[in-house]
Amino acid sequence: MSRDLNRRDFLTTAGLALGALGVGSTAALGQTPKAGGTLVSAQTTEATGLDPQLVAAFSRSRRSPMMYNQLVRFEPDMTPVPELAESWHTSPDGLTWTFKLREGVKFHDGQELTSADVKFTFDRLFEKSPGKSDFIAVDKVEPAGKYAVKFITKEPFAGLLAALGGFWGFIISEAGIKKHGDLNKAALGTGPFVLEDWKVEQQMVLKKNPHYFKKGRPHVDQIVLRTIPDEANIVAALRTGQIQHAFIEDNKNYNLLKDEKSLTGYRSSRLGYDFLNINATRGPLKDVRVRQAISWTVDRAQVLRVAASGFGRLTAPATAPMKQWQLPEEQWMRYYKPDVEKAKKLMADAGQAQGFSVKLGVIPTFPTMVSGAPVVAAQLKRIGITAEIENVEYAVWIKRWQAKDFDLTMNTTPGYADPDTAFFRALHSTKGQNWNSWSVPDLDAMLEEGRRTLDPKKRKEIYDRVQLMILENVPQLWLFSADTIDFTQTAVKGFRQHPTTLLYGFEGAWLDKA
Amino acid sequence: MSAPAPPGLLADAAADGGLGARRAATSRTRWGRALRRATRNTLVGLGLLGALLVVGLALFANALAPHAPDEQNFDLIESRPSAAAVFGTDRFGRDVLSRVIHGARISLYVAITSIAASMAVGGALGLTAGYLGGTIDNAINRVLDVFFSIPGLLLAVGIAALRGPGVNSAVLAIAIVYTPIFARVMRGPVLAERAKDYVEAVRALGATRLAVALKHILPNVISPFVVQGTVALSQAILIEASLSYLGLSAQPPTPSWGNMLNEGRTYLETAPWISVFPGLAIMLTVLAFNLIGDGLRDVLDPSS
Amino acid sequence: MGRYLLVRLYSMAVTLLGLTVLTFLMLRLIPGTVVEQMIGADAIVSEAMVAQLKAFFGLDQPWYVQYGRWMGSLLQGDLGTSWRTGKPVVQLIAERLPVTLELTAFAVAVAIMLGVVAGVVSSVRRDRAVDNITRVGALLGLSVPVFWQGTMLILFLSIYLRWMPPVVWVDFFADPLRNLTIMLLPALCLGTASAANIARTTRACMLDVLGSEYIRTAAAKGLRPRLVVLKHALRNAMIPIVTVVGLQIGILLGGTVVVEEVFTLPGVGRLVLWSIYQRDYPLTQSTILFVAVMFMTVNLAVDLLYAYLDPRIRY
Repeated sequence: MSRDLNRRDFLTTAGLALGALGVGSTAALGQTPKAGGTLVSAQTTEATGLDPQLVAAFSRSRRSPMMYNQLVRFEPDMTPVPELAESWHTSPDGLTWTFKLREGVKFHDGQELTSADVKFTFDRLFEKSPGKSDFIAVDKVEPAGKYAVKFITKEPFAGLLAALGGFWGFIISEAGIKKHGDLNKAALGTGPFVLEDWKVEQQMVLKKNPHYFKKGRPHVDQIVLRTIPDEANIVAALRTGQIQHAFIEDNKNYNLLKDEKSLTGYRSSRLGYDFLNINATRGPLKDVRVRQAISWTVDRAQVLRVAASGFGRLTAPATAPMKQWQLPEEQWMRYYKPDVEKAKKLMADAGQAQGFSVKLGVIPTFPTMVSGAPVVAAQLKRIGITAEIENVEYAVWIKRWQAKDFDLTMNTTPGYADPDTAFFRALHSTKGQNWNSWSVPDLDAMLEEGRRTLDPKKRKEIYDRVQLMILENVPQLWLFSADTIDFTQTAVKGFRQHPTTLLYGFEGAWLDKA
Repeated sequence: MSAPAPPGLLADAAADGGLGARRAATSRTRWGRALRRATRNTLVGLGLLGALLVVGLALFANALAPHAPDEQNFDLIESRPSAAAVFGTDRFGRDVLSRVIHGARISLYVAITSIAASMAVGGALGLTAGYLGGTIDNAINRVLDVFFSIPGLLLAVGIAALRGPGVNSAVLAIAIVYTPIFARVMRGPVLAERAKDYVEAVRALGATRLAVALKHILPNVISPFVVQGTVALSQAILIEASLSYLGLSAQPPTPSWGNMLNEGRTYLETAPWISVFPGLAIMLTVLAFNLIGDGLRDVLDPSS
Repeated sequence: MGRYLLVRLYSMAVTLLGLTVLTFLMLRLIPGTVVEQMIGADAIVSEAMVAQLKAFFGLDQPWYVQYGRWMGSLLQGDLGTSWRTGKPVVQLIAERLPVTLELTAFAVAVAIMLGVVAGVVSSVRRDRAVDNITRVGALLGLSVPVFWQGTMLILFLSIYLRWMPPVVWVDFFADPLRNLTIMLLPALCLGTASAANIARTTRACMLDVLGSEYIRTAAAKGLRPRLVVLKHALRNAMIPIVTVVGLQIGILLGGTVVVEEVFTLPGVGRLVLWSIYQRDYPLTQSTILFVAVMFMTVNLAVDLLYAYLDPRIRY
């Protein structure tokens, strides 16, 4: 108990919201989990398909840990821990990573997990998955006996663990593919739950995996993932006790629910963040001074206040959960103090004193974009930039995104565990996706160096410099990182949030009433 | 033979239209009595007053609204109605009153343009089909049937997806939904009228087909058509709101009533004024148009 | 009658053919395909990847080949397979159709019960307080957006009564009582506007009939007023009322999308909505076609019923 209080005090005084509020204490109290029961959980977004290699949508990634495991998993504090791999080591030249697999792990069909499955997983991933972008430095995956695999990389690849523990690292079984063709409607993994039934836009029923390799887990017999597109109904369902858990999308609803006695609220920092892309090939936006002016005029605190009801934080390029990579706050915060005069001067220096017009893209189904955009637009107006808000349906937005067809666009990402995955793909001018179509050769060089450097201390130095360079050259604006908010009925114990919002938290959850 | 029934869409107007065409003319109401009743009827007066008010708001929005509709005030976020903001403010500190006033513009724009377009196109098609008959009638009907056979909202979804969501997509969707309805409301009476003796007589006197259709037939069938139009106006405002709810019409930050209602829906508990006022605006406007429609029906359409 | 039916069926077939072309082309004209969504926002896009996915979905073929394939399978009675869920379209429709039909049926029931009763009472008590309240109520019922009504209902019930309709869907046959509690509010919301319409029609028709000679004669002969109203007047006012009810069925069927969305009911409307956003062409086009057939059948049935009820109408 005292530990919990201390922690809370610390959180309040430091103004942080790390770790879950309200929970965490249950473990300290030493309650024994009870087995059984059905847990109904609700969220607004349905998965578009379930194949962990074919479906890029984040709604899929969130559900994957229910049915699958990765070789490596990231703890809520974002340190990698063994999952299907028991241990790993790298060769002296840094080009070969060997992972020793846990023995006796069974897939849902009863077959044992072996190195052949791991090889199959990555062969299929490299062949047909958009997720291969995560593993671009990996040359091939080879079995090293029945219970070990080697990852051979083209160059030393510091981001490998993050990729393995990321959204595309879920291990599938060859038999599953043979049986089902693809895994969009079926699931065959090693995870804590077995897919029983899925009615799209309705609900997904998952049964406890009795042979789960983590002894005693999961505790509940069944989980029902309900899709309720209207969050007002989710709030009502929580209040009336119809659902046991909900992931809250719109942070202002935290205020509605936080005082409900029958509910436990969880709020913690998210790995992901909301940002503003600036297309550096579009007219005045090419000029770094214009981009800097945009950065100086946008009041991120105000955006956070409106878009996430203040439940979140401003963030450096490395977000709060990426603790070891964070810059000291005073180093980045000074870039975030709005200074309209300075911005106007930069605009004038760039020959844009009279301002210009651009379009600002928004996906209407993303609440933080919808509410953030008018604030950004109003602030840009102060330096003469007219940002016309353009609402673009997701399917169209993504088409334009892939074609880099936008001026400014609101954006959001679930985030990345490692600075290599976080920055290389987003910002490298030629070898990644180059979100903002910009080019800073010095930064390219540093990103490449960061990828090759395995020594944590040296890497840290590199990425500190990378982040400062980003703040200086403004490829995009890190607007804020909204807190992850979940609510459960108080009877639900042992649920844990994850900074990625992936649903790892159900395997330890249990119902006190059962 | 009665005119084929317009299959229902999302429009309630369809029901009245079909009914008007189908009902046996058993009513014994006379013009004079209807007129007296209509003028006596304070409800119609109220309806006219309400409609005038809304039109006034729309026309003079810039002069009437205390603030610009998208002016944000971060010192006054989600504040309850007060002297500073009579209808309160929303999450951006925008003045709800000003947005409701400007919203009249958008809601009326959507309603009037969509219904006017569908009345013009539908009316012309209905008149042509009904008057010319034969192959042309058949062809027009088959094409209209295609649009008629998809539920209106689904059609709207498709159009919004095609053009990208926005006010004009809503206009187009509503117009397409109503065009076949108006075509049918027009066609039935035209068929009946064409069969009358005087048409033959006028033709024999050398009048062109076009002249007969426009000068003789149209004036005799226009009344129920206009009544339908008034009712459809009120429906169009509701449909725009529903489309906003589904994310298919005006997009934030455009202050359409439907949009405000939908945005404010999530604030019902903490800041109900954000959506209550636009909701009231919708209700009163729709009510006003319905009242006028009722009154007009009494005056213009003696058959019902 | 038989000939009329044949003509109607023939024109239905023509309409359907036109509809397939319209739906098909419209879907292809909507910007964005399933391919971009499959690739997602985080992948480094390569030509090969795009080509591979396009080929997989048959999107590399010219449109007439795609259309031909769809028509070919339709003619064999195959509605196709949903790209996103991998399930046969016919199965997805079968899962959801009962929900939409049940919702429509209940809404119609609500509309008839409320509408006819209110209309009759209103006409009998013409210009009295009851009449005025009913008329204004009917007008108000026509003036409130359905989604707004639904949201308010859920909010107030959940806050003040700590109750809301169960969120986990249950089939009528699995648990009738629970199913009915789920359906109650949506049916009420959906039915309101139609009830208002029916009430207005009923009132007008009843007033017509009540003013006619034979009713006055019946009353003069000393028949009990209730009997006069129910047995004689209502029966004669029935034809237009049935017509309006029939038309409302079509309207309600089309209006279920919003209510399904507000109350999270797993109906056909939401399925179509979802499939359009997902660019799941086979699912969208075949479902729309199916809905259209249903829609047209309802309309045809209403017309036939009308002819049956009113002997003056001959097709």
